[in-house]
Amino acid sequence: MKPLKKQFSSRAELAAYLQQQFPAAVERDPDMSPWLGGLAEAQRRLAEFKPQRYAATRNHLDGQVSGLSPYIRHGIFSLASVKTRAVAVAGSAQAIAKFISELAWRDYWQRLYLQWGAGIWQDREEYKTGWTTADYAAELPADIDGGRTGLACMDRFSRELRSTGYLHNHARMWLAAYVVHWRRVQWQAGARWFLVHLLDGDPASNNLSWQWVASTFSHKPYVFNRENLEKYSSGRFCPDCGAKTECPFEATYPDLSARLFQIGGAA
Amino acid sequence: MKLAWMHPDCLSADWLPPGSRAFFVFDDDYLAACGWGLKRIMFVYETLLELPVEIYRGSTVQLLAELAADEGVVTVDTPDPWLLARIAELRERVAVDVIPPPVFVELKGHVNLQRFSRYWSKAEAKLLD
Ligand SMILES: Cc1cc2nc3c(=O)[nH]c(=O)nc-3n(C[C@H](O)[C@H](O)[C@H](O)COP(=O)(O)OP(=O)(O)OC[C@H]3O[C@@H](n4cnc5c(N)ncnc54)[C@H](O)[C@@H]3O)c2cc1C
Repeated sequence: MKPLKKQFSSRAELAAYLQQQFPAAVERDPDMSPWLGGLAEAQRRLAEFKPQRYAATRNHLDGQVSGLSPYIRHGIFSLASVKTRAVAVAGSAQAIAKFISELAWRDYWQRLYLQWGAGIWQDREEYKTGWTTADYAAELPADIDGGRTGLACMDRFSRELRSTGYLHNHARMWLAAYVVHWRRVQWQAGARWFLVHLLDGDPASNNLSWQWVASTFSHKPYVFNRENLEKYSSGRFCPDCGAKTECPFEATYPDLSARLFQIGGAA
Repeated sequence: MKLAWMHPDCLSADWLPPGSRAFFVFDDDYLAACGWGLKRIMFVYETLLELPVEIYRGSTVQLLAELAADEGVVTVDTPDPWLLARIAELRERVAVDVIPPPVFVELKGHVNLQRFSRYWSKAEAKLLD
């Protein structure tokens, strides 16, 4: 058996070769991402990352996050090496406690993966929404995958996921909450969709985060409102949104709870 | 000379034993099970282009067992059930050394993983030291 080719003159030539080698994968997802693979690119990103600014800005779409997740997911960098380097830059671990605790989320999910294996695909607990699993649709609606919901924010996230293979953490939370709670779709359908497209797609980090949003692995469902989304995106989506006057996210948290769930109290 | 199996969770030269010959296998069964599309394959492939590794397509166990012959295989541990099942199958045919990945935080004794807060209450002091 012959090994695959390792010399290419350009990215386009590599892409053409892979298209020909992996037709089934192309059918699942034909796009190529502008994100580059490899250690050199991971090192460049790590060198640019300012861990001291992480805690104060990380929730904002333009905040200082590392963009290292695909490299960590594939073992190009270990969590330990990223932590060591960030501590060296910041001067102490205490100074970047928030960043270290986010790295720890990955370690935590990996430990659960070892314990549960394929069990990460099952609801770990019941939904705390007043609904049962049977009340949620099993398939992802086509307008979400196609970026045609008519909601400027969600359509942008959907298209960005497909074209780049990366979404900011807050965008993942908003999009997942929209899929599960507003559209009442089983988290597994959303999780499968993310895993096709995310470059950092990791069954444990992904599925258990979806379960956290859904409330099948947390005390309450995660929801957000328009004010929250506008605040952390500097209001960039709403001006051009066709659904401006009928925004499904425009509500107080008690109102959203009453509207979306069969019980009160989610926030 | 041992054969080093570089799987998708350990795309680094750091763990390769000196003088080993490294292999990566694109297995259709894995790609379908994980739902990988072109974006991900390209990302992984670009990473492999920088590494001292030979890239193959085929059935993981059959290929590695043939290539390893009597020399045995070395690889890195993973929680991925698909990869763990292949390691177990490979073990029926050749000797396999599984080395632990780099430790992020060493937690002794039983660790309650019921919620992140329980895990963090044990890990925090060690990580922020
Ligand atoms: C619905 C949903 C799905 C997700 N799916 C994945 C996934 O498939 N793979 C994945 O790596 N992360 C996933 N995450 C977690 C998180 O969104 C990404 O790790 C993070 O956005 C990656 O960007 P970054 O590298 O800039 O992160 P940074 O904020 O710079 O964090 C540094 C590193 O810490 C780890 N990390 C940070 N936050 C988390 C977290 N909440 N859970 C696990 N690890 C974390 C990642 O390895 C990340 O690269 C998901 C989150 C949600 C809400």
